[in-house]
Amino acid sequence: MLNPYVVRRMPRKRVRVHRRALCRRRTTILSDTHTSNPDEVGAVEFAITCQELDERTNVIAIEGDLDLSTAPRLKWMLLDSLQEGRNRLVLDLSRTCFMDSTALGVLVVVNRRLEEDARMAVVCDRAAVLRIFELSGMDGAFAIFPSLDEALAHVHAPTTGAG
Amino acid sequence: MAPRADRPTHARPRRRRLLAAILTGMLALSVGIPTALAHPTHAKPHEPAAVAAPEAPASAQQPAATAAPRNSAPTAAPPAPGKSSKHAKRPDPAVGGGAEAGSRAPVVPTAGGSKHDKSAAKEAKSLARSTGKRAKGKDKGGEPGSGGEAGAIEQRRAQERAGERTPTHVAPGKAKHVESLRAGAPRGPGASSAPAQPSAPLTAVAAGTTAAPILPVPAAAAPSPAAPATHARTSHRAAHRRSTRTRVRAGVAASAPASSAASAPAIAGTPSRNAAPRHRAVRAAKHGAGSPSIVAPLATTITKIVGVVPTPVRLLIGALLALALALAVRSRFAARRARRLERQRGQLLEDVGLLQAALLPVPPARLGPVGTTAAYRPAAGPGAGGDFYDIFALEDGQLAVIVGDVSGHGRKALPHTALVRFTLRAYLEAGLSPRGAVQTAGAVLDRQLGGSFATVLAATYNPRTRVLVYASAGHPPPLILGDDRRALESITVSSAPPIGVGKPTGTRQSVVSLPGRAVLCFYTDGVTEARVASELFGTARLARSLGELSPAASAADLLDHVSEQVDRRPDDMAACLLWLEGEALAPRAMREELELDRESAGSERTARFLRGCGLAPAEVSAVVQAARAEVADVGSLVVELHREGPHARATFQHDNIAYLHTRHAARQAELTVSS
Repeated sequence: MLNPYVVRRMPRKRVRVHRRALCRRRTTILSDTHTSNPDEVGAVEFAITCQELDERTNVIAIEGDLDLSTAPRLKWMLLDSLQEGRNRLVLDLSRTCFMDSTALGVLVVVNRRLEEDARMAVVCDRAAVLRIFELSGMDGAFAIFPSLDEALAHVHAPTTGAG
Repeated sequence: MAPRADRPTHARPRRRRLLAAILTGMLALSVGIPTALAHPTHAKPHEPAAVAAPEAPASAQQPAATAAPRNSAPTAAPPAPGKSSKHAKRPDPAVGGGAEAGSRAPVVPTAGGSKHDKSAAKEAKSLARSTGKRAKGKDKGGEPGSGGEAGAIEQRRAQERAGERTPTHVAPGKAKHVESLRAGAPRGPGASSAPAQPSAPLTAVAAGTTAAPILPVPAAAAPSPAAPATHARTSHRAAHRRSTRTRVRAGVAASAPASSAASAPAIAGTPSRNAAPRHRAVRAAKHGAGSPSIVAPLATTITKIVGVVPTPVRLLIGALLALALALAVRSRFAARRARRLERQRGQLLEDVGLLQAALLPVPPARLGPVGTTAAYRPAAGPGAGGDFYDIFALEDGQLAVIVGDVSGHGRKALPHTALVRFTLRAYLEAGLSPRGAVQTAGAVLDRQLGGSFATVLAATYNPRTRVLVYASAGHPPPLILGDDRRALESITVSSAPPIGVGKPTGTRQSVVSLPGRAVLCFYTDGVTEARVASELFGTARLARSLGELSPAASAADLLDHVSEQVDRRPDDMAACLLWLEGEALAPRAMREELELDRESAGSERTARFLRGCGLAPAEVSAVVQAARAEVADVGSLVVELHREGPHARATFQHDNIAYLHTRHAARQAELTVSS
């Protein structure tokens, strides 16, 4: 049920990879499509990948746990993207195992900084993470989609609907 | 030649000779100690002298006392200037001037000196004649190696020495005597003339002469039992020191001629309390016992070693010593600083304790019929701080509970923590329902949390109706365990967002009936987000832990129990427990409330909520339709879902609480437009 999102169809300009030094997984987006074993995801270390689809859109994928120690990296990556004028943000949490209140706080902060024409969408189909959104009442505050395509459609849509 | 000039040439070799004699004596004695031990009679050689002492005063002391003034007074007059001049360096300007003047006239002292020496020697001899036999006998007993002949030679040498040394060694006493004369009351004609002519060399002499008759006072006061002549051969310096000390101590000016020219009688006349040290000195000199025998070789060895140490090594040792000193000083300062910091730390901890008590109150053990307990475990590390709780009684007999967690952990969260807690408390005290309190607080505090947000849970429990009402803003709902230790399921769909995220909150409220025994656990997400291996602790584990607790256990027990099970807890943990007593009746969810506005009325989220509450799908769409129509007119309404058994019944309730939020939103819009 995990979505190995179709990267090859996307016009890829630049790939920036931020990972921990001792990460044992590959460092390119391309190979992400090969390893989509859901059992493997739980044991993986934290990795955050930023893919720049076009001059306005960034897809940020997160592997591992988003907690007190890793949430700041997500925060800076999201804020950097906004700084560069890429205000169509897709946050891919489909490979995220857990998210705590600090990570939620990051999303809240970034959501507040969004300009009028900026859009942010969250890709998440994991029950554990969805429950965190639900329990915190934030599922109404963010646009959450089960697949990347829907999320991309949302951020590229003309300014109507929830943002 | 002045005596001062030849002092160095004479005195030093003599001293050296004396030292050598003592050393050889000690060496000889160290060899002879076994012999001395073999013949115990030698152990106290001066005993016989002490026994014979009572006869001595008649023969020895009387001549000394009378002869001294008679002989020395006229003859000793000339050498006096020289003597006093020798000690002209003493810080008495009046005497100094005169003494210096005297020293520049060396003619008189030389002649007088020799004359005086002769008389001194004569006196010593006469004294020796009277006491010599006893002294010889004592010497014989004390020094088996030297024998009687040696003792006689020694004695003679001592007499000569006494004569020779007079000009130099008596002088300190003389100078002191002059000083004391100047300072103290004048005595006799000489003394009275002394202050009148401070520069005249003869003044001191006259003073010394007139003072001489006073000597017999201490001499007669204590007739020494010891044979005096024996000491002539011990130490000249010792004799001199004693005589000086005696005079100074007595506060009386004793004459130099009396003590020096006839040094033996002077010694004989010293008070008996000086006898003991004298004996010691004799013993030390004879037996080589005591410290000198150990110290001297040691000192020589050390001197030898130091002599062969090369200069670089010496420098190195010096540098190391300096380093050690510097380090010692540094460590001392560091220790002082550490003590000071420790003290400050204690004070700070006290302050922190006070502040924490203000932020985290200790609830009373019972509020009405409910047992209440709360506990807080801050996380180690940067996550600490941010959780808060409060349990208090309301005016109408209800009981209120507040639990919350402010994001943005650490010390920075503390002010927000206090702000949120007291705001909620005020609204609850004012009589608002939990939902109303949360909604109002959310509207008021939205911009006051400085970018952070707060998840809160406010609850009231009415002990009379046994009904719990709680409203959450992004916070996990309370865990309610009945008598069967099974957790009551709660509806989390469509939860209200936290305070401070820019969204209207306080939209949800739950009403639970608690007819029987139950335990209520209000907690923060630090408890459920603690890690067991790579998993979260979770609500299920928490429910199990709560069920394992003994009845009326404290919240601290629960948190300890949780802490034992988890590997890591990155966030603070806070928990409040309410223990309800009663029959074995299970708790029951009575009512769920959701406030709808124009935007949320027709949303999918609302439909999910209605489904989750047990409404049939056909009813859901009907309720949504009706709600939409209603909201379009009034702006907002509350859907109440009464849960009776497996079925639910929906009713609409018009709630005017929302006006606060509307007003707040309008003001925000105005601000945005104007800016």
